[in-house]
Amino acid sequence: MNSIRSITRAIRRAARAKLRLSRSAWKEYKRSRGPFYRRAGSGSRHLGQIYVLGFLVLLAQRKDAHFALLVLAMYSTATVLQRAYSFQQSLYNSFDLAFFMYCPATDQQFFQHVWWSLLKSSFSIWLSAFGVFGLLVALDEMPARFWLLAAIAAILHWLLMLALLLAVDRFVPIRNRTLVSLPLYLLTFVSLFLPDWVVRSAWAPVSILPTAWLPSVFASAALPGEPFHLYLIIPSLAFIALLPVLYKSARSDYPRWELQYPISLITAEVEDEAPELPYSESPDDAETSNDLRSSRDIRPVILTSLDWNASPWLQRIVGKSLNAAEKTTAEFLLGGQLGSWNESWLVGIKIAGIGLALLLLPIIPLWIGILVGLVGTGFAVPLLGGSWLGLQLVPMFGTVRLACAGLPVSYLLASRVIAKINCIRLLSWLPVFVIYALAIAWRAEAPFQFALSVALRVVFTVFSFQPILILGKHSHGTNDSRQINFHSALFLLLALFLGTIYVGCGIAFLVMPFPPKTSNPVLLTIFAVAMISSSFLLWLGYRLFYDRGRLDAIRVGDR
Amino acid sequence: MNIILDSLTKKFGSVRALEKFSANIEPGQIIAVLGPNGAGKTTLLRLLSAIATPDRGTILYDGEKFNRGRLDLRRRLYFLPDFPLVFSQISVARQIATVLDLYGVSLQSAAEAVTRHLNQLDLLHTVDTSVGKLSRGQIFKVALATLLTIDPDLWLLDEPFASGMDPVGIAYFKEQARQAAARGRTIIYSTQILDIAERFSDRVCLIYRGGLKVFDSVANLRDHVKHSDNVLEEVFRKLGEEGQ
Repeated sequence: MNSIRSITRAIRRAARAKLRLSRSAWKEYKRSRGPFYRRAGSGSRHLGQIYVLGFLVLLAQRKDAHFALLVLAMYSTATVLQRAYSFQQSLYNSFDLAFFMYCPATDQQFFQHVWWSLLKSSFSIWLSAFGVFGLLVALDEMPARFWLLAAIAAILHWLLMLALLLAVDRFVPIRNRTLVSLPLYLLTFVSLFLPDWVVRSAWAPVSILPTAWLPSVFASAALPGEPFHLYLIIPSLAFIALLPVLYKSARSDYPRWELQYPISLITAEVEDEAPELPYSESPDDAETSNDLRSSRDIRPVILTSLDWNASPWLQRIVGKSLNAAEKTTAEFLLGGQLGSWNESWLVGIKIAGIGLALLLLPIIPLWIGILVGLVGTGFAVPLLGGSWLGLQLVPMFGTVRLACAGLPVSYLLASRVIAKINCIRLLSWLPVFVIYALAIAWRAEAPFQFALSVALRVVFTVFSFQPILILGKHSHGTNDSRQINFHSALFLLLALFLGTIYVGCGIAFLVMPFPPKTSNPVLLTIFAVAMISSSFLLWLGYRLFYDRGRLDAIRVGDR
Repeated sequence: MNIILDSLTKKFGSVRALEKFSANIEPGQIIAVLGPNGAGKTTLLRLLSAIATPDRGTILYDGEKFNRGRLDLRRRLYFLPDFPLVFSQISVARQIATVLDLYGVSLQSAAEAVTRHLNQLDLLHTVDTSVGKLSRGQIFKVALATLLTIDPDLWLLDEPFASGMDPVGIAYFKEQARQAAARGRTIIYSTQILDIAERFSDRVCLIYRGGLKVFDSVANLRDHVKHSDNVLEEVFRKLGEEGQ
């Protein structure tokens, strides 16, 4: 690493010395380099970690130790799963792998490179842990030495998370951990707004997780009146002691299978590759691209459209709701094949069925049934806006753009298609929401009417969030947040204003009815209208911004 | 670097990308790899750089068997693809330094050489610019400056004349390649532009349907065709007729 730095410095020094000899060359250099905050490696992109501060402010307002520890444990669990997945992706299917394959580097050197990247990115775990422990020290006005204890506990927590991450990477057979970690991140966010009784009942099961061991130990050591959990330091340290062993074993076992050049990541390079063409099995009769080309010349090409009517019921309903233009757009957004919503719905209903059975068993804690139901919902409902190949990012010489950016696909039409499909999928899940609400009400001995109203509010919130999700699907492939001009500043202000209204009203809309007597129908209606209006206006504002060409539909890649 | 390719075969599933490909390449030559799309040109370059592994056959560099594990041999070659892989968030200087470090290039020689090449390629002013902000041609030039600084024994380039480089860059590349060949370096590049291949190569390697059809100097090929001013076009036409 130092070597790269010193070579970089030497190149810069020599180049700048030469550039200084010419006034125009120096001017051109300064123009190309840009302002200091937008320079390569300026570190401004790490400002994103400032979100930890936002979390801490919310935690500080609650002034509840268990609440802070619960959020930290849940965040750490989600992060371990997510980072373990990213770690494996980086090792076996990443841009970095492709880059290193072109260079004379050993597999072990590449592993080391990925490991260093992981260490750097996992710094957020230490930051969050220190933030939470420090917050507890500050809230209880403990002596200064407890800050040192907080720092040490945060380091141990970070090391424990790294050990867990390696263990998950090696031994937990989950193909796509993002599917598990994303709902956990969502739960972490939602838990910031949970009432105290939910937090208290959730802490007991969460504290069993290894991600909660060190928070429990810190609470026992530093906070008065806490149950004795200091013994958890023993398994924590034992796990941390395993870190070098797990690291060495992961390093020596890499690669666990033959490395393949990740050609799918470098889309431009498939142009000259023969494998796309179908060949006969026999080596003697094997055709080449030229044979196929000549045979293709004489065969008429028939472009068939997808048959929505011959699809399973959910796809069929969606097909009936779309007009011809929308169907064409939908087929493009889906990457030329009908979605597998029906299959996802069936998976979701099976999981939700298990969750429902668990809910009805009084010996099983209530939260387990709710959690299983949430996982099932994650499968069946596009909580994050759904997956759209036509809106995915396409890498191109260091930049990325939306797949639809160069094609005649309008923001309005794409949005309408996504909104229609997502709403139908959401409505198809409505009966499950209602049944779940009734079951929870029965278990918690709450009024059925109240449970129904909560379920409908949750559905409405997911529904009202759709315009913002659609906006986000377009936004992630543009340079809207990197190109600061009058229009982007104006939109940012609008987004802040409407976003605040949406979040504020959304929280009030969801949280207000928990003591049922205080729920006011007029106020609820106002909140609902404000939510849907602010969400729609945000989408509309972005449309003006997008359609009038005030931003580029291409941006610098993340790597 | 003396290169011997012995019966190289590479398949992707049932697709025959290269079939029993054999050649002996002496050092100090500029070799153009030609062939229709999907003929196996890029696959050949990938095998030569160990990005892909042959299913059968061997590659010998100076008599030593080459594979991915031979870092000493891999440091003696550089493969510049038509779309070079770059880290878009880092600066040009850092991008070049990252690769130079892996090649073990010494600090003293690197800075001076990089500056010289960047200056000649009209890129010196971008030394502190993020690679992601550069155009396709500029990115190719950054990778070319890296290759020229490393100056390995074997240069492998995929479509350098369709890389988006401007005439200044192309002229500089040609000049540097000729000088390098005179120093004993081997330059193997793929192209579809027959005019350039005819004028800018010592030998031509024509791949057709995964097999080597022609591996000869342009001068020798001229003796075998009617129209000596369009030698390679004539060779391609003949191959096409045979294929029919």
